[in-house]
Amino acid sequence: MNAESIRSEAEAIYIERVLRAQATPPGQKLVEGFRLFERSRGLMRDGVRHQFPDASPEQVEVIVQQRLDIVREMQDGDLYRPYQEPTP
Amino acid sequence: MTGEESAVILIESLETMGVPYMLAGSFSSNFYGISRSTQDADFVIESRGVTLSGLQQRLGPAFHVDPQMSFETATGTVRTIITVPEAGFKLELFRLSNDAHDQERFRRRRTVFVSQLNHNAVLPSAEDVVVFKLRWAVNAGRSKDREDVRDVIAVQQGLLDWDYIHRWTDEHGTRDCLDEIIRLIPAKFRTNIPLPPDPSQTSEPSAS
Repeated sequence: MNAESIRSEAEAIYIERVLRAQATPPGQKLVEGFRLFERSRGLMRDGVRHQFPDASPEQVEVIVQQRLDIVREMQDGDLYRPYQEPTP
Repeated sequence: MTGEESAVILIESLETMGVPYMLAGSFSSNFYGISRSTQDADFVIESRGVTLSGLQQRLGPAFHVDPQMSFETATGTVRTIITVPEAGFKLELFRLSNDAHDQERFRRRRTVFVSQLNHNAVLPSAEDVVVFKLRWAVNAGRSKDREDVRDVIAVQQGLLDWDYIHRWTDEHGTRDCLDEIIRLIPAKFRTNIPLPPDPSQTSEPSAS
């Protein structure tokens, strides 16, 4: 597979995604954001259980949350700084 | 509780408290573009008279309102994070700033009934999602914002007010980034989109 055929296949996949999005009610796309997160969180949970088979359900949740926080910190980078409300 | 339920509770609380709001960030780009997973929901609120303790009281113990606010350096707004431990989800409140586009985006917001939530939601316009996300793409360098912009433009095919978008992108210095993103959209989705010639395709004048 050469670069041109990969590019062409990627474009065909993207066109399919856009057409599907155009045919989907906007409200459904909005709630999909929540549901996709629930699904990816479930997959993360499975991964943690596999890696730590002796972990309790509570421990699994803690590890999942720690991993999500790491992703979030990486995405935020140094975009945010502590803010103090000015005193009147 | 799920992230979805926590967002509806926050919307109901803001409505009860009389706080004007809109659902921004990736949920607004999901509405106009292509859905993607996100672990937080961003709200912009007009926060006059709203105290964090009052909000905490209204939301109840399932929500944790972080008393430490943060200043966001991409567009210059103040953020408060609300954690919903049971849902593993975060709700982010961005205070409406005095920035000219932030103000106009908020003025142009629209209420839609989302049957999947069985609730109204207030959202920015598709044009304002493009303009705002371009600022994040340029000022914060996040690839997901570029993708969101591309997806909204492709899905909204021909429905966007380009004069409005160009007015703001010229003012924000994000027009080049916009044109670059548009060129990545398959040709069938970018009919009727004004686009200058691609500088990388322009040949140098011959010396002879």
